[in-house]
Amino acid sequence: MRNILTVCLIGLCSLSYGQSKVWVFFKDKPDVKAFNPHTFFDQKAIDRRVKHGVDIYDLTDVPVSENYIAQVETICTKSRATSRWFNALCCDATDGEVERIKALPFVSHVKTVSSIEKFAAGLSLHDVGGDFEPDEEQISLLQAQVQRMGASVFKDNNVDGKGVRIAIFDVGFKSYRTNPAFNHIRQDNRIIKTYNFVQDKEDVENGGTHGTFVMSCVGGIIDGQQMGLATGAEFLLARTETWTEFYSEEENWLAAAEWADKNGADVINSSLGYTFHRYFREDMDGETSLVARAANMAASKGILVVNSAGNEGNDHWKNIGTPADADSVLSIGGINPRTGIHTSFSSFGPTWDKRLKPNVTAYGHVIGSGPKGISGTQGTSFSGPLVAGFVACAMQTRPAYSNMKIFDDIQKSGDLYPYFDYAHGYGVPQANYFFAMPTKPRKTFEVDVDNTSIRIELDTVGWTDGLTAGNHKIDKNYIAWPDYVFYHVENTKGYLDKYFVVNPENSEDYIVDDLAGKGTKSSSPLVIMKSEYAKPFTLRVFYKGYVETVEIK
Amino acid sequence: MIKSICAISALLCVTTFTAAQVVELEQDVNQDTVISKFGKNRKHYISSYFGFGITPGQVETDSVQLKSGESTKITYGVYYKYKVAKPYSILASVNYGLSQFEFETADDVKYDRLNVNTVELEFANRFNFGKRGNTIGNYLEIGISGDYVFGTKRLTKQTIDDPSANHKTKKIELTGLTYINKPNYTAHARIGSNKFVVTADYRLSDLTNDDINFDLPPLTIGFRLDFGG
Repeated sequence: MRNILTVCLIGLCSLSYGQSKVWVFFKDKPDVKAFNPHTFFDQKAIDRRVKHGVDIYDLTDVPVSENYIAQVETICTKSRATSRWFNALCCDATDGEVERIKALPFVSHVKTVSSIEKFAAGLSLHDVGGDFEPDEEQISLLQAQVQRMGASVFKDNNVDGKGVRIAIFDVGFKSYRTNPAFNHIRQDNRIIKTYNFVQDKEDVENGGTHGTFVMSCVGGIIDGQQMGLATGAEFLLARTETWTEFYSEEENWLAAAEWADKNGADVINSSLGYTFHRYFREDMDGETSLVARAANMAASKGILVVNSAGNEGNDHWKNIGTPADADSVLSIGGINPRTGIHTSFSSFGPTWDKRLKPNVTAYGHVIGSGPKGISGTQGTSFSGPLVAGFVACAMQTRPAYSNMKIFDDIQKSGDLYPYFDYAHGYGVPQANYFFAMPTKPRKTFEVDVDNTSIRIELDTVGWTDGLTAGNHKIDKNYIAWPDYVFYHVENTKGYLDKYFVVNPENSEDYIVDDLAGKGTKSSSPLVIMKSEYAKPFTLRVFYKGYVETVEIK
Repeated sequence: MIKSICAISALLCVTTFTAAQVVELEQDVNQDTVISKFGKNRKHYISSYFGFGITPGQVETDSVQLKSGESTKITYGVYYKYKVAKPYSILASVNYGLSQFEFETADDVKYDRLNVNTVELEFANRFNFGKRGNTIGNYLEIGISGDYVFGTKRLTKQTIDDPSANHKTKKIELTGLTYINKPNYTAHARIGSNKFVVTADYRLSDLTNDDINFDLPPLTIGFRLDFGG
């Protein structure tokens, strides 16, 4: 019996001598002179660099020395990935092997990385659709999910993301070769390349259906109805996620980002994120995680990275994951089509260092297309691709703009802009912004400040007069959105202490105005007590497109 | 006076506002940015668990034999973890345990079972491996416990194959067994990964005293489900 115990204990203790996954960083790149970007990169990647003023001979683009890789591979157990951006090799190694690797003269340092788990930022992805013909209710939501961003405006101007190349990182794209939602894309051979970074092969069909749904929300068409806005874009599909080995996604993400860069991607859509499995909330500063740094690097190469905020809004984590925390990543929150405001699962911002996230929002409840048909699904996984499609269209309208200028414009096109909060960012981006000069919004409320309170009197005239969004008017045909009042309290450090969304409607106050021929409503004033906040502070209020800022001393 | 009127008016307005308007979303950012001291990988953590194990050994005597693989132990407990350093924590745990030893029986005896109820206090060292976020992570745990036996029961059920008897089975239940030692000491080793734990417990003291001529096997191997994992 004691022998059995001894064997058990030896087994337990052997854990401490197990392998770790490590990044081996190299001191230099000796092959720099042999690097020819014109043969290394896709022409579109060269064009993007030129457009963005990025040096095509940038040292970070030179591949990792094959000699260095070969030498490390003779020591480590298993080589996983390389990164030219970080001049590093990821591999599995024991403690003893790590010491031997560190002793190599060309190794700068070795960093142990932990096991990680991921979440695909989708919820309730039930591939239950039985066919590809949407019913009336599905058509209604399909139209709304794109029209909420102004699909008809893009359509009227023949903008569909043509010429823009979008890379999608996901768990798998089952049926992408046969799914009718992508007929138009396959017919034009616009799926440029695919790569499975999990299994090191080109096939991305296996792994799951999440990517298929995501792709449909970027640029699918079903039964003549747009599912996403970028129906004319080109696609790169990368499988970076896995269900069997939870611990490799971050380096897969990095490898896929470098691959996307090399193959000329203009936009990366990544509907995934990493949270408590590996990180603390205080790590969500846009600098700590590998994927956040990789995403920022991708942005520095001229790629606009769109990432879902995450689905942790109603659990203990609550806040955005990474790489949605990265400074140069356009982070996308989700709204509920029925209420028009933040949907409960969508992760909240800000970043730990109090930067605004999410940047903008889109529907978090959508109709997507999977292998078995179309069906309703939810998650910020789908808000992200809706905006990625929007980004492609915006890029088409502004071909000379840099990725970060487009980033900036997309924020400005938000229907809440210049108002923002950490649930909605600047709101839902609007296509109008890219075609019309903004008009000065009508004043929709009066702010009266006295010694103790701030009183906001809402102007009820034209209550039902359509929905105005920021400086732009939204087609309201399929969109139900009560006229909420948004307000936030900003402290002297420049970030929000509190923010609110208030529904001022009260059925008891409803008055029919026969002369106007429309219903109008009265509303009690909104009163904010000064004593509830540390002075001085800034109060910013949004109501029906009009924003007013009040400084309280 | 004017200030008071203003304040009352404002309060009335607030009341009116509350009645007429609905706050759909309210977020206090500062509350979300407080670093908690409590959590799976924070300074303090409390969790509960359920464990199940099998006592695979045999009694070292010819007079009785255990049924192979049928002796079990279930535990339910609560532990407190104090994180000393990133890879090292100390734990204190209290649990209730029920050990059940199944003896081989003659053909006419349906079962012969010994139940031992214990309350156990354990102190353990947890060594975590690999970097992790706010999760329990992967770990090796070594601990020692003292337990107190607060209830014992020997149960047998015998089939009576006698048509003249006025009953078909006979159950015998003996409690307060004097041959079971009340205090015991056990060493524990565990490998865990978040909520899933493999356990090995080895009793260091004899469970029985000199009133009977055998001791029960000391090793229990099993699993534990950490409800907080």
